[in-house]
Amino acid sequence: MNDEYLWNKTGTDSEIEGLENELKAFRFSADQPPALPARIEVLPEKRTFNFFKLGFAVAFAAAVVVAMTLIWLRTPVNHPEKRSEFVKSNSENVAVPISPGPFSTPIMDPPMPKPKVINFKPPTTNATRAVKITAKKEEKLTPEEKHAYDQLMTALAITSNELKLVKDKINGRDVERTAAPDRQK
Amino acid sequence: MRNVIRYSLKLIPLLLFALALSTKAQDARLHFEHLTGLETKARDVVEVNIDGKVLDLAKRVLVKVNDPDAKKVGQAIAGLQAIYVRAYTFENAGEYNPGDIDQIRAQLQGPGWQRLANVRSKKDNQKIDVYTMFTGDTMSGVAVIMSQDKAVALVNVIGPIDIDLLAELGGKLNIPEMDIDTGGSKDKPKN
Repeated sequence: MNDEYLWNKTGTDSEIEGLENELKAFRFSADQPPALPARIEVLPEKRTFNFFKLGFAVAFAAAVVVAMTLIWLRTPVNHPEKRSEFVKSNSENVAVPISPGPFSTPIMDPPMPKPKVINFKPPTTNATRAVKITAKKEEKLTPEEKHAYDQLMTALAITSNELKLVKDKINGRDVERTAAPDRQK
Repeated sequence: MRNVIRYSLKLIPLLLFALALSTKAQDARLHFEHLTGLETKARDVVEVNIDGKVLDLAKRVLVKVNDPDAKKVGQAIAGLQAIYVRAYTFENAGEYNPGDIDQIRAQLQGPGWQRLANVRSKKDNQKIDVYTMFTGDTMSGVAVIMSQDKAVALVNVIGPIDIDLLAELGGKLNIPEMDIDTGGSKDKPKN
């Protein structure tokens, strides 16, 4: 292979020239845009059988069948001996008498409803709610916090009382009251 | 190093301004020292001094307490720095020296204090004065002086408070509306 011909196109090389002639259809031309092939063949998608999906579906169906069977077997109405025990244990809740009938074949009764258990909660009154809120407020305060809070409230009580007294006097509501300490030192 | 010095020099005026503000706020403090003798004469005494950490603690409790009125109180005293209260109730008229209270009123004639309201009533010789002090547009102090024949109440607030809101809150929350009737029998025993 002549490297001079390959890289600089000087001299001759029959092998490279042969390849160039074979591929001249794809030769770059600055004047024309690259042409699309005349025919585009779309190959059909090969359909493959997905064994994973099938296995998953079979397993799911089997699980459903097993679950249904277990539920069926555990239902007392399908077993006369278990049914009598069930009725006996729930005699306080069920008022349906079981009498032997003339039929030799078992009668398929509808599934017996499970007795409901209702937890009774007494309604919360305003009084109980107030007690709960007060307790909630007090249980969170430390002695230092409570002392500081009480001191501030005492100070604000006197301040607000005096200010309200002045406000009432200014607004013409001459109330029959005076300010005086409520809490003792 | 030069930058550190430059920034420090810039901070000095700010620190001086803050110091001046705090000094100005402290000017709103009234002196109640000469009233100590009233404790022994009065039937009921309330003395409350709340500032610093105790006040911060009480403010935190106001936030902690889940009550709308507590929130209002917290809002009214958000900028409060200190509050000092003296309240005395006497068995009989003339048991305290009115000059002691006039001395407190004289402190309010100093610079910065402005009288917001005063109430005078011949009944029980009642006098109520409300003074405020402002630093610029910010309230820096409130003073309330109430005196009558058988009772004296002095309130000194340092820092801004919402006076209107506080006046509305009388009797709500845990703030008792201490409206003891002059001739009533609501007097509580002294502890």
